[in-house]
Amino acid sequence: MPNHSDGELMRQLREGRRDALAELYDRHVRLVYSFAVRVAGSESLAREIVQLVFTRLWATKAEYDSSKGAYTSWLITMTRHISIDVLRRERRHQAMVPIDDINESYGSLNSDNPESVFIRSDQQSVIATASRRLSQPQRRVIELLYWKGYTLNEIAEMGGEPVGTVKSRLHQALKTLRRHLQGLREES
Amino acid sequence: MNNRETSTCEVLFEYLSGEGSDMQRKRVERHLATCSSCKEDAALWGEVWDRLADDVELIEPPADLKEYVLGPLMESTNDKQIKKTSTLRNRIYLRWAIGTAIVLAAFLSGWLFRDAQSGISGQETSVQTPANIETLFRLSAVRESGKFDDSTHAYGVACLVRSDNKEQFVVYVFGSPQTRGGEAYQVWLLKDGKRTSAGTFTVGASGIGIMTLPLTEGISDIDAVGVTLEPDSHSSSPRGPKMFGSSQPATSGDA
Ligand SMILES: [Zn+2]
Repeated sequence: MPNHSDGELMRQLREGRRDALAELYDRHVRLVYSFAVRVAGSESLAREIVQLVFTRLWATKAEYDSSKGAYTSWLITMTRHISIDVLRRERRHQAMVPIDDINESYGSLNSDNPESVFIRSDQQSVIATASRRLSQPQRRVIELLYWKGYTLNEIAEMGGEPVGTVKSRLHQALKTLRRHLQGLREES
Repeated sequence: MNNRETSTCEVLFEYLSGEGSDMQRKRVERHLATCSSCKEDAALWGEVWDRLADDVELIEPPADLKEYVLGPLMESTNDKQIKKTSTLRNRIYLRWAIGTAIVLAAFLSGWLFRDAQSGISGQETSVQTPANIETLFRLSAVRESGKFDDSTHAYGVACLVRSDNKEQFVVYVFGSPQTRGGEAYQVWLLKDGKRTSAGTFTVGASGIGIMTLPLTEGISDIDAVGVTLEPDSHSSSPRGPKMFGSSQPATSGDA
């Protein structure tokens, strides 16, 4: 089992092999959970998201096509969609979180959970380094759009500015990130 | 840097972030084939967007999470609920511990109830009773609705997630059209010819929708589950097209 590729495990999963599900869980739960915590900002929601992700893998035998990219990218894309759906559901049932709270909650889980073990991967330090080159407003667009699942129009409304302004800020942010991602990749 | 003069260039980022109506999306796709500036921006997006996920600090999940997530899935196999699609189709009985009237009441007060509970569970992380998940229904897309012309892989699933202090009825759909404006998907439970609403949900650009209905107790069997697309989330009976229906035991082949 440890030698099987993720794609092979997904095939076994579709045949109803529970051991394949357990192996996929062991391999990827840390990534799925960490991503869910990053999006949802709470352990209880992150638990729900992880459960929804693996339930989806199992109950629907979701189809992964290895020719279309890495398994972890596929899994993260699915995790992001599910996380954001959960987050939007929460938002519909709660008063809108003021935008300042979003910035404060970013990364705050750290101090709440002194026992948590944080591991920085190489990729993380690369994107984190690149992100430091962004202005605060650029970081905020990325945060709200990618991590919190707000639409461009919602972001424009929150900031009380035209959506065109948000888009050109996003455009600049992406260009800056690409430049630094390329640069950092060449250095390493 | 911007020579975006046409309106199609202006909605590229909406397209890339998954927004926009199907018609707008198709227009952008056609436009992308011919506009070099948009092509460049789409390539830029592609290079950076997926890398954003790298900005996650890896955290060790709580020790009990594995049992919490996998325990019920492993168990449900023993219940022969999930083993085979054919078995499933013949075994679509949903055991509720409550009548449908209470289901509706639970729905109306559901979110309040749920929030109160998640507050509690957030603090008591030490003991989490593993949930039990049953896949109750596979939901097939109703292609006759004409809403799935762009989606070859639309489907859904309805599960009952049970732990000792809460029960949730969870409906997922995949590959389903995004809701616009006030539109909502609505889940209907059928029992003895009577239809009860179980709640509504929306679908984003991902085509994924999730409805979670917390229950206090459960009692009666459900004969079928249907999902309609309603103009708003206030329907007391279906007004919009039926989008998904549970597979009927008698017609296990493709209807
Ligand atoms: Zn263009």
